[in-house]
Amino acid sequence: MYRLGDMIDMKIGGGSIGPYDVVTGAKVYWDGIAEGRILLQRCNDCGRHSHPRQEACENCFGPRLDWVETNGSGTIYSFSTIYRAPRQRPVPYTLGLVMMPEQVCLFAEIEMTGEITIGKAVTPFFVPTERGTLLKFRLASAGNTPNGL
Amino acid sequence: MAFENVVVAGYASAVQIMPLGDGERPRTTIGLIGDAARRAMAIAAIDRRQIDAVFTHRPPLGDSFLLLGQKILAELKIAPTSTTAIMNHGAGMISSLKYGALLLESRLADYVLCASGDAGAAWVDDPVALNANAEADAHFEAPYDPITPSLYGQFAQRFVYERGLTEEDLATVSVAMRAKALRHPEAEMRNKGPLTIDQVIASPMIASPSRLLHCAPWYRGSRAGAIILTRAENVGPGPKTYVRAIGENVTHEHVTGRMGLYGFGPWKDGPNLTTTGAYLAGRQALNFAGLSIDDIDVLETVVPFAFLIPMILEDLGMCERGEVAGYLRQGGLDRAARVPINTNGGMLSFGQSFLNCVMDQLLEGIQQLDGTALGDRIAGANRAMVHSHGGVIAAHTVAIFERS
Repeated sequence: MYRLGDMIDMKIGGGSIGPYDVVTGAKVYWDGIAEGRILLQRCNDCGRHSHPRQEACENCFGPRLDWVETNGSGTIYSFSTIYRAPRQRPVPYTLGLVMMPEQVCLFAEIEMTGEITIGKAVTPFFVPTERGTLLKFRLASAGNTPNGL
Repeated sequence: MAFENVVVAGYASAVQIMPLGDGERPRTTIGLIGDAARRAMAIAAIDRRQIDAVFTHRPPLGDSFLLLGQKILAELKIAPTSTTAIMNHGAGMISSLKYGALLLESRLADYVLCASGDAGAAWVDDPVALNANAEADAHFEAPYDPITPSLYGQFAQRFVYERGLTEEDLATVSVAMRAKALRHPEAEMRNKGPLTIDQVIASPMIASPSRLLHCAPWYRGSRAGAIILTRAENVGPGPKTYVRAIGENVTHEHVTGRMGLYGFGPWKDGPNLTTTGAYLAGRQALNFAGLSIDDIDVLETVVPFAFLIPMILEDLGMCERGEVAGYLRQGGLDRAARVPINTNGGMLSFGQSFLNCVMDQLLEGIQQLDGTALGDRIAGANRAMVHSHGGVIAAHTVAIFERS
């Protein structure tokens, strides 16, 4: 499992991840993304999924949370397209909340390859960056495969 | 429970407008808060030794004192028996009145000082970068380079979608707020002239659906304010401004986590982004006071984007659920509306004076009741409601003041 020293390798989040999140799952989540898998927590007692990471089930407070993989296809719950970026990042780009079949929302970039509207289906893909591999979504039309890879 | 006996004994603000004049030195947060507090004490006709409690807000952006309250005590040489900073984001300044009122009603205090201030305009180089870093979840949102308007934008896009709001509807909000600010001598946009719908729609997109003219400008100046509360028997006869009730609700810290909120209140059947904590806070305040929204004469709301004004109006019950588009189209934000809203132009046009923006709007609401507002004055207003939000629509407090 993960030890405190693992945080040194954790680049997501500007390199600022501390031991709290190594223990409670930010690293588990991002390591999954690096392998092309989206991991969510699922309660061993009541079956509810949660995201972002919890220490115990948000529904029944059960302490036994498993990491389970979702197939990753979802629908756009909301989004915002950014035209004034921090740092030197080119614009525009779109960040949104994607509702997964497990009824949890993921916050991620949505590729601007078509008109982005609420309710459209999206599929995930995984992009290596200088900060680590990021999960992104693209519109499910245009022959994208469910896994997006 | 309503507060039966808590009144405003005195209040004051202090301001330094930018740019500075020749030879003028920038004031500090503590300097301005000290000015406001000393004036408020003079108006209340008390001295520093009579203050039993001091409340303030989270660390200002201008002078990053972690313990702002201690600095205020040191400046004013007050030795209270109760003091703390209320840290639920921007909602905390209104919450501080609640804790003050509770102390007064339980006779743990006779005079309470609630103080606010921020000299951010003088001392912060890049408030935009500073703000975005604080608003996003460091591990699940920040890696994607969000900006603050894009985090609010998640709520905005969903609200516009669910309520059928048009570009014209959102522009109506900016136009109405500018008009009020033109009549207020201290508003940031006082000299900018009236806005048109077309100008708002032509302004550049910042983070959809919010354009530049849907966003609050930073206030070019440093502001502070102080309110002293006491029990009615401690002030002379004549009309007084009572703190009748304060309601509060806090729902989350970050947008992604907000989508895990369910199981009670308006989120009983599942999460949504279109009903805020103002829904519960507003009802709590009205229930405590034994009033309905129809009893309110003037409404102030501390929100930094155009879409939030209709969202909060709906949550507070100013119109039927889902009907806010019609409310806007029927002139609900006009000066002559039955309940005038943001009489100084609000954050959208009065400007965001860093962390003092909540105090600005609190004092505007109180001034409407005693007839001393500097801009629009609402004749005969007896009850004012002041709402503040903080975080990314995370914390909400609603106060009801009554003049009698």
